[in-house]
Amino acid sequence: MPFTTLFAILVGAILLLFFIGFAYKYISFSGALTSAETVQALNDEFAAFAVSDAAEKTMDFQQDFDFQYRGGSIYSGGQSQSVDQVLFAPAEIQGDVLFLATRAVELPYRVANAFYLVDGRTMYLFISDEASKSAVDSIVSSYTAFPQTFPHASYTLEQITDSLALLEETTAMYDSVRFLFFADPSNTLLADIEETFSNAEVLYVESTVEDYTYGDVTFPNGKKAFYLGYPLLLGAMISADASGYEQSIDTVLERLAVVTGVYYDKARFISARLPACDYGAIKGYLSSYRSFVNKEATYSQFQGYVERVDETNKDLGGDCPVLF
Amino acid sequence: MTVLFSSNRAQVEMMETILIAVIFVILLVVALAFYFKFSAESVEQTAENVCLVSNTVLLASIAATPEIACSIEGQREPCIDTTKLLVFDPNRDRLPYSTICSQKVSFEQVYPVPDNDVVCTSNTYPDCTIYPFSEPEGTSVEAGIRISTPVTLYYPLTEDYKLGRLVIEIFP
Repeated sequence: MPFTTLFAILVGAILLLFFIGFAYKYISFSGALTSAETVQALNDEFAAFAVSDAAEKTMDFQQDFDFQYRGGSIYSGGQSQSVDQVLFAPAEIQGDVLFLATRAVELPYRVANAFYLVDGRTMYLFISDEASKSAVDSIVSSYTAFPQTFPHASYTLEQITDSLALLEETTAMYDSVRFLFFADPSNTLLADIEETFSNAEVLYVESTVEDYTYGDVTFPNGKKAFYLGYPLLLGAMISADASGYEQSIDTVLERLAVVTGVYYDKARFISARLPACDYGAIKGYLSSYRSFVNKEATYSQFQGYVERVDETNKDLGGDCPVLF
Repeated sequence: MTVLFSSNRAQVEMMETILIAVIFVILLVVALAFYFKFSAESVEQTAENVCLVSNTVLLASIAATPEIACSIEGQREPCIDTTKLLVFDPNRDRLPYSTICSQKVSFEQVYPVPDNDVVCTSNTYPDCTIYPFSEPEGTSVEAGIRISTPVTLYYPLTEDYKLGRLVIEIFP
């Protein structure tokens, strides 16, 4: 073979490899840029949505996406963006349509907005008994409770016991079915669910409060966590597992401590300007509330603080302005 | 003689081939340099656009932040509580919004038309007009873009409302 031909083949091969490598790098870079823009756009959606106390939105991306949500960050195409907001979402979000909802978290003042992000592949089934039916009705039907755009339905224990097979047929289009028990299911019913559904998860909600505004949630892996108000209960229902939920709860508690600190400082400032007004009680409650905020507490303890701070604030008024 | 001639010819042909290869590589490098330059500019432009969009969103959402928004008798009101502006420090307690660029945020009284430019502190309040809110650390460059929106400033001590402006100066 003449040298020129050999040389041309060698140079040609090097150039070909270079262009192939370049093309791959470009595709990867372009994908990363698009993912970064998408995730940033999602973060902007959250920020814009936070203006509302309760809102829902369906986002049609016109193309398939694949997000992962873990450790307080959204991952897409190798890009990650930490989410500044209180976000509850399943671990995997796939499809071409996203369902986003937000609810204001008030303990007793507004602390943050909780965001819920789902892809519509999970059906949420609320199961109640006589004692919990009215609470479930208000969670399901109230505008400020469970997002209407998220697939859901509600049944009583009797209804579900009688019609499990039919329910399995009607929910067959969903990748998973999450049973949200506001009642004690019998072992037989749980066994039947496990047998009938190949994709079922069971979550239990317990509360000593009549309207279930505060309580505990037991996740499918058996781990228990508290919730404070319906917005956080919805978060537990949406979250993949206890650790994902607790990550967001940490953010809520962090914000609660900050906002409580703001109200405490505001109380100090106003009481210094209006010495005739007695802000001593509310300052004391706010100070202990701020120091108390932690994940190891019980929902009853939180409820006690929320009610005391709220009542003390309501006692103000007239020439002594309320704090919130 | 023939061998010598052939050897010279082969050398010339080889030199030609190498020269063509070198010229080709030079052209390729120049083309790639131009391509990367324009690509980098395009990415910078995208980053600037994303920054501007994020700050516009921030402009709309910052006033609703519980740390500074009005809450009167349990109801959220569309105004800014000026006493909260005094006590809340976003540089210490991070705001739940982040953008890919730096920005300086402040609130200014617009109406009644202020007769001074006094910065608000615990000592000057309420006879002051400018509430510095957040400032990026160590930024020495001039802000590139300034965006603003009207807001209502609430004074809880006197239960007065004044017209103000939320100003964001963006450092791209």
